[in-house]
Amino acid sequence: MRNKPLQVILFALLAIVFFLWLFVPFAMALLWSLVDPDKPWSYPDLFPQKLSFRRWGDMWLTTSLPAAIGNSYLLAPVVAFLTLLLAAPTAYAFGRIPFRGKAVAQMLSLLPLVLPSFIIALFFTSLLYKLGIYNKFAGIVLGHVVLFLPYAIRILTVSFSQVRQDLIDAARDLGASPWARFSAAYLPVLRPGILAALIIVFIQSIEEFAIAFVLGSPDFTTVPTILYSYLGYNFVRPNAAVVSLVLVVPNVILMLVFERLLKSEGAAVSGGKG
Amino acid sequence: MAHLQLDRVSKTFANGFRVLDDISIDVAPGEFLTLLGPSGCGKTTLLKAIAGFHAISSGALRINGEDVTRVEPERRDTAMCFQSYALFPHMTVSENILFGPRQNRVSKADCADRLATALRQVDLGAHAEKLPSALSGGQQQRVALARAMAMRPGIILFDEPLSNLDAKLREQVRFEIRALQAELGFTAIYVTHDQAEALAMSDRIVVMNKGRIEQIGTPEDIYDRPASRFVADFIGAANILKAEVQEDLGSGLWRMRTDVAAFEIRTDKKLSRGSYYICWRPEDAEVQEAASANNSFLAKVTAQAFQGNLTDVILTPTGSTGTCRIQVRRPLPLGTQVAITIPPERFSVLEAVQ
Repeated sequence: MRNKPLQVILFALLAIVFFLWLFVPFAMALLWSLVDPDKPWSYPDLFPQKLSFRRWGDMWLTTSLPAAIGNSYLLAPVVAFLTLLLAAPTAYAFGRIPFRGKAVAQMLSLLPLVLPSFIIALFFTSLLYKLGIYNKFAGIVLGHVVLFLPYAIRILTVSFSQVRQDLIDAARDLGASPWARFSAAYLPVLRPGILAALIIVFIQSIEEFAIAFVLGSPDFTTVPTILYSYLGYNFVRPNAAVVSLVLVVPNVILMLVFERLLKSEGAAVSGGKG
Repeated sequence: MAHLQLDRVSKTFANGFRVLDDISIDVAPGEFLTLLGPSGCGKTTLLKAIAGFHAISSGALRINGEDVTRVEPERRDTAMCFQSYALFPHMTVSENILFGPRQNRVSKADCADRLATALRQVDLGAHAEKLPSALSGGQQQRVALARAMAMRPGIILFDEPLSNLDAKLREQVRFEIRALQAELGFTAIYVTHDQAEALAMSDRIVVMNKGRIEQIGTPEDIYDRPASRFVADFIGAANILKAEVQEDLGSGLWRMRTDVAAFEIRTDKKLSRGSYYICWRPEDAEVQEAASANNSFLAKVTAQAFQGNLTDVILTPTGSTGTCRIQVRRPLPLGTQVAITIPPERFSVLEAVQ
């Protein structure tokens, strides 16, 4: 309130950033996806001459987009749940048990984040063949789980470390079974972290290209591998726009739902003495 | 109401630190026992060992004669009032209170009865459906107490339950806890570092220091007949002197020499040749204009602090470099010389000088 000009400047800056980085790309993607195949959008037209949904229809009927959507949305939840299950014990240890070499272990657990995913993908393929795993779906699930474990471990470690020991003790003292102890002392604090980990891994898995491409090609497609097929060598901008919208819109909706869930969680777990 | 016995309980941490050292206490059913000591003395560790959260290294814990040393906290007949209250923040007051009975498969009717009783006992009926975060500190403390009582345990363990309350409220809750204990008859083990709280509430006090028991006794015992310098100094104010045994005057009366004066001292202890620490309380001094024959010494008033109901006076005894402390009703003029007399039975003989 005291610094009105600064507020105005900051707000304007935010609006510009929002416009350039969010509105423009989305608007362009939407416009490009609606360009009629018969009337190309070319210089000097400021807007496409004719808008239609024909691209959407063509893409749906003539490409493997429906199968790719199916694959992606089957992969993502499986990957998210598996990653969560595998991350939980490690996160519990990082968050609640003191042990020697914890800092080193925590750093090592983040390593997959810094490796280029194509490198992981290439070596992962040969590893899977050595192990005799030829199923493409299973291979990609494994690859994604390895790639996204660091996110889930990191998020859940923070959640586990926020669980209050006195509440665990109180639950035990009052005769709680292991499950009741978990649901009374752990779950309310873990729930936002679990949701965050699930959704972030889900979105990452949907958008992941390298592993899906290397392990899945040529016949197992996901939405990103279709998208990339319209970039590069045979570049078709309107088609790429359609696929990118297919890719991004559900993720944005998921993020919004996630924000809402986190907000309603916050009220329940805060409060009381720390 | 349960009978708790601690039999030579010791606990050593992995790094070799002995946090509990040979603790033996027999707590009578319905007794209010306080564990008192400075921070780090092991009192909270002992309480958590009784609750079952800490395993002990050696010794045994028995409740009503049954060995519970290896029994999980879930199965012990104890309920704890945590320092942080440890209320489940996402549950209402009622849900918090019913958590224990529900876990223990208490029937619906009995649950309702226990809830109503507990809410009435701590006077929180109007707040039953609120979340803990909507309550004041004092109310949260009472919910914690109600939750413990709803378990109908033989023993309730209190871990500095009043340390987060302001002074006035603390005194009020002190009386409430004592009244509830008298009404319900549970055995209470109460941990505090506040000696005034310990003196006011307890049937017996266990004074702890560095993992060991310094003294067990009634509040009067502990205050009037401290067993060691540590107890004398920790509880109330004490003037501690080194005194050399000079003569056994018979029937418990001894002549002892200090660097302030020679005193006749009455004690139950059998003294041998050598030196002992002795102490007297500031309020036991009798102040006169001139020195009388026995047990008195001259001293000059060097500082004082008026407290309202009494005045703390610091004196320097003539021919001594040390100071002593007395309490009188009204301030004395600074620099005046007075004669201090301490009756023989007002001294406590502490441990021998090593």
